[in-house]
Amino acid sequence: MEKDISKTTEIKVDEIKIDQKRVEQFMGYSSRKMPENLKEIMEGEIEKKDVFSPRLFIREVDEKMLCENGILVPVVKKHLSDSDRVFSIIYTIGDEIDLKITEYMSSNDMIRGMFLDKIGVVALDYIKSQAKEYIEKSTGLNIVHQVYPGNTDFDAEKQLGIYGLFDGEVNDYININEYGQMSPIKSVAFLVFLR
Amino acid sequence: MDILDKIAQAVVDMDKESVKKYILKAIADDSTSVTDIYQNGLNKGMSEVLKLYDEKVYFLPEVVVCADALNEGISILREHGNIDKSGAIKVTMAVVEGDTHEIGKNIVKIMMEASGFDVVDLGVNQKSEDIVNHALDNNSDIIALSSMMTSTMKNMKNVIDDLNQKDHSNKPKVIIGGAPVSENFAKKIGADGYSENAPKAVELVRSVINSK
Repeated sequence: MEKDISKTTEIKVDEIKIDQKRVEQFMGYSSRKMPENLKEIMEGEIEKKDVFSPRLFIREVDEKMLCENGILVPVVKKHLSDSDRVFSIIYTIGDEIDLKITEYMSSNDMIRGMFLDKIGVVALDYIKSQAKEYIEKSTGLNIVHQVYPGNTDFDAEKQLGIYGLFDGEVNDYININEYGQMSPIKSVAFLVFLR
Repeated sequence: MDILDKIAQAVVDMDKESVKKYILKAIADDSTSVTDIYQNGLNKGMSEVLKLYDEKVYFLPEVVVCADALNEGISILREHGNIDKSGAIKVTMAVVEGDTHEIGKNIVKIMMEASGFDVVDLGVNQKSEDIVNHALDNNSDIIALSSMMTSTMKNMKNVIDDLNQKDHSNKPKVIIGGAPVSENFAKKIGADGYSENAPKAVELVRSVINSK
């Protein structure tokens, strides 16, 4: 990958594959088998792929940009000193899933909403793994550190700083409020450090 | 087994269709009131469900399926009359300012309604003064607050501070919940209780009210 820190790149997301076991775990069934009636509901919801509108953006950043966006905090400085390149990543699965969840919740089908919520989390994890794989392949480097807003040494408001690294180029798909909450709700932003 | 016990059992069995069937049967029998069906059929079943959760027989998703069955029942009851909720614990519920995560709050709401509480859900991203004013105007017993972000959980304290500044003879108790929130945080901000999940929130409301 050519080093071009001025540009945000959109990465095409392959068809999202949902790991059923992970959904079961998120629903609390790791030590015990999920009852069959629930499993049927889960499988039905996993098949509903039309609730995803994934968008994934990456941008290579440097120390100056991190500083300008207020996120050159100790943990970031430490990882910077230990790595060769840094990328910011932001992605979403869109709004449709939450609209569907709300619809379920208001029609006495809270369980489907609950499943869909966890399926959304697993979908986000899938996109994250694609993003990481893409960056590692493109750079020929390995991700050695990751920093997420909400970590103990990188509070949730720092999400504003990561969002700011994209210079408004993702605004058509993802927005953020003053508290650092992104919209669509099922959106994630984080930093990866490579060496 | 009388019809109300059958309704209760259908809730425990997560059996929406039987809940509907037995409720319609009970309604057809003029001697059973809508409130009676609600309290001694649906709510009775939910009490048993929460007991099973407490005994770790049911996991949270199973409790949720039971609540769905119960709420289906409530929908039918509402078509046939008003459920008398006088004397029920009144809860004002909201997600604090800046936060629009509502799934957890919705699950707690549905679980509380299923347990017979009179719940008003103000929704997400609610300003402190609006929550406090609504709770006081409606004589709520409980304010239940949710936040899913560390950046917004501090707004729970604003609600408690605003409530403390009000001159009111019977102020509601404040309980909190949400992923970043803990028992310690609840104590730190002066909340009256914290719950880690929806079924426990129901128990918490009862214990907070009993200690009033």
